[in-house]
Amino acid sequence: MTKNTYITVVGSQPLDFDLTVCKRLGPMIVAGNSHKNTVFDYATANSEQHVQDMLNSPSFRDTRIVVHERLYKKYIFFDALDCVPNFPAVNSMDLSAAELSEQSLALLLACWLDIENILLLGYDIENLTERARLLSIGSAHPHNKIVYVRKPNPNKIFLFDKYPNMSVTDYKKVSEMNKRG
Amino acid sequence: MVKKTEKSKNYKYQIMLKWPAVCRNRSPETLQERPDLALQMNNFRIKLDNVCKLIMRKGYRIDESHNISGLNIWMESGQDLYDFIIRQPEFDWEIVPEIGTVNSLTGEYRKWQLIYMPTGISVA
Repeated sequence: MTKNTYITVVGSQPLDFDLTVCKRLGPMIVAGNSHKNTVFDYATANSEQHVQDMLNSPSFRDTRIVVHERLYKKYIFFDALDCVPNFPAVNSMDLSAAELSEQSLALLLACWLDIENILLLGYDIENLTERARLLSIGSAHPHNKIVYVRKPNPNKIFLFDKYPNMSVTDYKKVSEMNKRG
Repeated sequence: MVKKTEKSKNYKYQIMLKWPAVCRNRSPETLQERPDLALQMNNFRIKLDNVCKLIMRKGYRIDESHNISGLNIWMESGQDLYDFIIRQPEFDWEIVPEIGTVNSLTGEYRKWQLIYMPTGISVA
């Protein structure tokens, strides 16, 4: 079995991109119950409504749903659910997994899975708390290369300039990367 | 070598069923001296296996190793485990109020406390 070098984290923001491209690159994690037209390897949830919706959605039938401990205890008899692993970065942020958003949990899971390149699609960086957490997680995992993927846009983002392991790219470049194999 | 057609089993859940009251906490020496107890335990295991064959929808495994408290049962499905717990009065057996789970991501085995409530069961 070959080790994947790419993993995709799909946030809950609307996407104008064909996710099958990412599927060919490696495993995919979705944050929450959005993007039901794609089958994901992993999903993260932090609310009961989302867990219930996922358990009732055919597209999540083969997806491993990762939830925090409190939710896991409530849904322990559902085979598809697993409790979040211990993320050292969460402790260093002085938070618990239950306090994190689904997209932060998805990103932490991607880092924990120890796959070098992480592509972020539909990831919300407009929310300032989320933005700060993304940067904290990025700096806590220097061995991971985190790439924020967005629509082609001539305006540059300087957000990740100080972080050597974080960068920005666009949908076009990801598609080209996939074609090159 | 494992046959390609044979699906590998993943026992995610574990629960312990207590031995009949007279057989609990008996040392191997006592069991050697009391063949009636050993026979009762053996019959209990056979009964459990037969019931499991009837009620379990997915795979299960009864631990072969001896435990003085009871029998360890591993199950693939959480639904089977839930049914097994709920149907205790029907088969007149007693479960140790603890559930063991194996995390599919980490492989970590963890125990959870089972709490019986008038409305059903919950886990702490």
